[in-house]
Amino acid sequence: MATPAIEVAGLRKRYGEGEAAVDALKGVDMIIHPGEVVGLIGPSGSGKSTLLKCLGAVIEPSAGRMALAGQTIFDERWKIRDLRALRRDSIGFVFQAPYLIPFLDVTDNVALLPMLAGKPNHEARRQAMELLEALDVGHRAKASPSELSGGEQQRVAIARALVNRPPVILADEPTAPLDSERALNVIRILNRMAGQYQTAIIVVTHDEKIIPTFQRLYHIRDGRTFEEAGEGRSA
Amino acid sequence: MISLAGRDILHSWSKYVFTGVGLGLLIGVTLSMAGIYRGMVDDAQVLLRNSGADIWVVQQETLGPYAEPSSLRDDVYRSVLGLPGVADAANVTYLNMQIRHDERDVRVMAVGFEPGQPGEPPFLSAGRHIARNHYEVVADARTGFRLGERIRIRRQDHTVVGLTRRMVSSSGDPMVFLPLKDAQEAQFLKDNDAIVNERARTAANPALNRPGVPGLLDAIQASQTTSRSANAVLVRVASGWDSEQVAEGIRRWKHLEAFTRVQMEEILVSKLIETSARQIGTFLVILAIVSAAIVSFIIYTMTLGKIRELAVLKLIGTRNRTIAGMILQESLGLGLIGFVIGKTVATLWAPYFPKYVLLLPGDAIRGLVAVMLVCALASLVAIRAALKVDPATAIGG
Amino acid sequence: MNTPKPRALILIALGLLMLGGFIFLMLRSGPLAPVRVTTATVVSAVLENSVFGVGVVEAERSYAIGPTIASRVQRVLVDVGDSVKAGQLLAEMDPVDLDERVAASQAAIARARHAVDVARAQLRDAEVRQDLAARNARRYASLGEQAFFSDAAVESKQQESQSALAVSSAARAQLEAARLDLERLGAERAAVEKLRANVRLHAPVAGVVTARDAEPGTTLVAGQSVLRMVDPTSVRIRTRIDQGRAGAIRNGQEALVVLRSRPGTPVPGKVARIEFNSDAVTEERIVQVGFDHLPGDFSLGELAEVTIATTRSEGVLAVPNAALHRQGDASGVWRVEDGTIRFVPVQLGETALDGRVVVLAGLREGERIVVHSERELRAEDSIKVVESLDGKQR
Repeated sequence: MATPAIEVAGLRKRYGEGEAAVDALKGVDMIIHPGEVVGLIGPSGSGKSTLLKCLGAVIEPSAGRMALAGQTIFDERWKIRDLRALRRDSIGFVFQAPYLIPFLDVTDNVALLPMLAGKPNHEARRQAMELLEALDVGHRAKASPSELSGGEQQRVAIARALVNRPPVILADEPTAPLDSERALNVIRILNRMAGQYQTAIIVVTHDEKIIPTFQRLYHIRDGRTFEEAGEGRSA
Repeated sequence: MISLAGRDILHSWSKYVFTGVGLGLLIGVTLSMAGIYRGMVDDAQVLLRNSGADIWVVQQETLGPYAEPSSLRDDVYRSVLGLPGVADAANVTYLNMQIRHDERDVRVMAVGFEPGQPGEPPFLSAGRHIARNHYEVVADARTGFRLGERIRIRRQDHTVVGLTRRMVSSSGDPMVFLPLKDAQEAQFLKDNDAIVNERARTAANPALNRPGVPGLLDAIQASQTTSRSANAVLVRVASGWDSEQVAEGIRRWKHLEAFTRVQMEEILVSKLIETSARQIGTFLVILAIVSAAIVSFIIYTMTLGKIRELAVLKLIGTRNRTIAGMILQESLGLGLIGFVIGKTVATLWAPYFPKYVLLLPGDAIRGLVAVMLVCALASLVAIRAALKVDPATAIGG
Repeated sequence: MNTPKPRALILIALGLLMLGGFIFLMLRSGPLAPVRVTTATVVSAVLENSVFGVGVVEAERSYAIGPTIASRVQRVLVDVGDSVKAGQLLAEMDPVDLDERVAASQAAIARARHAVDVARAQLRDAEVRQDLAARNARRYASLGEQAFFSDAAVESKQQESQSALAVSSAARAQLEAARLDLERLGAERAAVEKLRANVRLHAPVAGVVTARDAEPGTTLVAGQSVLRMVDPTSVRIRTRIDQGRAGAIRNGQEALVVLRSRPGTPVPGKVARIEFNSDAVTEERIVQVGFDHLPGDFSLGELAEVTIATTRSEGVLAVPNAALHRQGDASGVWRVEDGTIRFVPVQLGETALDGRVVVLAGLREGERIVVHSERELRAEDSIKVVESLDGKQR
């Protein structure tokens, strides 16, 4: 088997100290391979968001180990100094709302990441354009984010997450504001992209409509994960 | 890399321009305030420059003729003329007065001068210089007088034959130049007509013109003629002579006070307008502080309005440097817009001030540097707030 | 991908426009702006020179009429404003005792005349006696030679004759004395009569009474006046002219007089006399200007503005005095040279009352010079020539 895109073992996160301490994560274990689209479901307060923030290198776990594309990034402490570069180059984010930058047009919203990574403008824009075409929003490349429909915005957001070819994409309820048809469409796109770019995608959701579409599911409850084989096929 | 600040400004340009206009008006007020101060100093200097004199000879122990009243016998100039190094010397009188014009009073400084001598207005914007030595005047355009108009100064009607500009007293009143003898009449009511009349009156008085006492009338009339005065004697120093040296000669041998141009400027600028200048200076400082505070508030508010975008930017890996640079650039851009608008409005509204407002290019550059500095400082607070934004807030939950 | 959106283009254009406007404004106003000026061409011109002065209407010949001795005014026959003829009786003083003194001297003369008659009779008597005595003496003398009479008798007659001669001489002298006495009294009487006549005050010339200083009953000392009168043909304007400009005035030059009472109507006149004395205090020269035709109503002592046409220069170069500036010790003008300006020192002649000044040297005909400017010019200033500087102000 190939190197997992993401490998998490015994990850814990404790907020606060002493008496008031709360254990949000009590031991999370995950292994996700490139090209996989995995669902992460659980009730509110189960630690979904905390796990996502840890995986996104936004907050620091208290214990455990995380590896990204075979590289250990956390083992009781951060193994990498530049977390921003890590987020920029190795992790894509898709949010519940698209969170596009309002003052940049669609192309530059996507091209911003390669630009931040130091690519020349035209190269960054070419990459962005390529992805936008692949996601069927190429014709809106010059538009301002506010001029797009919700679905189009979400597709641009996916393009942005993909543009630096990260090994893993974290999607936080990407289908919440969409109706079921569009939601399924987004999942289809994610599946397609995961296949096309060999990216592992973790989709946090409690959208009943799409849960059946995942190949694998991780349930999270009381800060612990339980893996479950999904019934769906990639669409 | 694209300019995030530029894109942001272009995106919300209307907000930017309106904020810039508001800031610009504030900067315009600040620049005008500086201009008013410069104008006051310039008024004082113009007064000296336009008089064409190198030395002011005034009454002993006074700081006349501008800062204190001074009175001299009007034949003093003859003895001053005789001193070595004096090229020209002429009497002048200065009198603040109201002149009625079109149903309103115009406050002016009436300057009595000898045509062709120091004290004459150095240039005209219309009309001609005085050619008769009576009943003609040259007025500063700010008085509102028009060419050919007849204005009444005390007992006599005078014709306005010329107009000039920027001829103001140290307190900013426009000047009206009239022949010395008319000015003396206006000031002392003892012009030549008055003297001649006085003589006739004395001669007609039997108590003073007694048949049995020859010589009495002459003695009385001689004593009456000594009441003619001027306020100062303006001296032009011959080329090759040092003003201070000539002034020293006047002080020593004529027992009069003599000020060189340097000393006069010192008197006018440091003594006469000092309080007003400090007043304006204080106001200027307050205005600058207020402007700085407003700029910081604006920048800070604008940054807080972008918290979510900043969080996303940080989450997707934008560096602190980039974000700080963006805020700094926006702040400087706002300052630049404000400065351009401020300078423009200050220039446009300057002519409508009742007193002279002098906008020096040097002050504008200093103002620009100050605005940029203040904007940079003001953005520090906003940058601090931006850097404290937690990228985690972009992830829901 | 590099082409910006149209809106961005428009915004950039607007920004550039604003910046351009800003730079334009900075260059058009403020210290960097070109100075707006008006110019004039130096032309050869006819210059009517004139000088201006302020004068007072006065009568050159005025008369104060009063008594020669201290006396009281008895009656005054004329009033202010009356025209009088030469010799007309104007006023009379109280003669006091003068009439009595005339009567007394007349009586004395009569008596003296009688005394002359007496002396003359006495002389005739003495002459008769002397004649008789002389004849007696001659007869006695010839008879004595014939010895009819003694020598003593002859000598006695001789002595009688001598004595009679002396008596007649004395009588002649007495007559002479009486006659001289009469003469003296006649002269005395004439003197008293003259005094009497002086008490009557007559007009010395034809003229107008200007003042009535004393009323009947007033006692005056010698030298004080009862009436004052002037000769209206001698009315002049005593004009004071600045010494610096009085040099060109000559007798007979044309003058225009504007009386203060009638500002709009100049009255023609001529320079009648230039006084030899100047007023040293006011530094003015006195010039008497006479009216060509005496205006109907005027008042003595009225203020008048006098403009005297002095010289007329033809073919001189003249510039407006507003164009003259001073730099250091030199007077000069700003000459326009291809849009730039240069200070040219000039030598100046007389100034006309219309404000033009004769340029003797330093300029040539046809050159353009700056007349008016917005502010004092400096050599490095750039200029913008306009029609007029009225209205706009910096």
